[in-house]
Amino acid sequence: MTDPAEAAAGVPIAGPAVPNVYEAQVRWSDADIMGHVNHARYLSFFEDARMTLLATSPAGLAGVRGSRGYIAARVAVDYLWAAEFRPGLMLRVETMVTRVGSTSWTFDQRMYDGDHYVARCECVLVGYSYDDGKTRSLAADERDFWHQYLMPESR
Amino acid sequence: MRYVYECPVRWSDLDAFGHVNNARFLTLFEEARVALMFVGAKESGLTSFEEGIVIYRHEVDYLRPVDYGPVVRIEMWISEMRASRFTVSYELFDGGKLASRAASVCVPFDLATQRPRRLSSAERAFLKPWSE
Repeated sequence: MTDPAEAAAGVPIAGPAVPNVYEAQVRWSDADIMGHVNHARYLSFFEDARMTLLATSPAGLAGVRGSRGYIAARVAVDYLWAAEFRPGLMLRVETMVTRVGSTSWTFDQRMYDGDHYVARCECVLVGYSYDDGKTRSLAADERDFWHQYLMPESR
Repeated sequence: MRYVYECPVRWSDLDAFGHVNNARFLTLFEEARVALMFVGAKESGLTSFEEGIVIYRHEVDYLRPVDYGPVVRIEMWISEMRASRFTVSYELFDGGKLASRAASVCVPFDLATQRPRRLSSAERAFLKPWSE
């Protein structure tokens, strides 16, 4: 029988690996002169999807009192299709995890306009103590949390 | 009658104080206008606002800071209608508390001639129920 205390101490949870889904509301001011959603704004949509998920994580939102901090080390975006702006447009962001390390973890995020696969984002976040000004190790509950979103092929 | 719009707040709307930056309030109010005058109007068969409208004046009073949260509630109404311009007034609520009052004067604009134009009767009829 598994000791619950041992389970809580960092044995990865094999969750259903269902992506977290976030609906990004596109603003009028996100459109560029070409009538496309400006490519730089995509980073904000991916960020909002991550922040919404991070708010529910054991670390909470970075910068909020009592939170365990983290900081972005890498963001890479591939643009696959130009989303055409129209008022009321929502873009769906699916967020999963491809790696959970001892001090950092990696997100794989995919953005869709209906059936169109618009963009993909890879983002590495590093545990970071804002008090000490340096990297920190991820706690067992944080690693467990992110394991729930680990893509099956990454396990 | 007031038009009510729940506007999502972005992480990047926050400034170093942890508040929604004062300049972003204009973007949030803009989203409420777009929802009524572009999305809502189109559903009623009116697309002329979407074809060109410009801002003549904005005024914003900041009553309390707005923190990060999923949405703010914007209540909006038409407070004045003239031949070639109208004023939209807003109240913005964060967690049920009034955080800002604002108003924008909007002018229908012909993008082809780059000239302001008068409100059409269809536009006046669309805006009328939202007048206070």
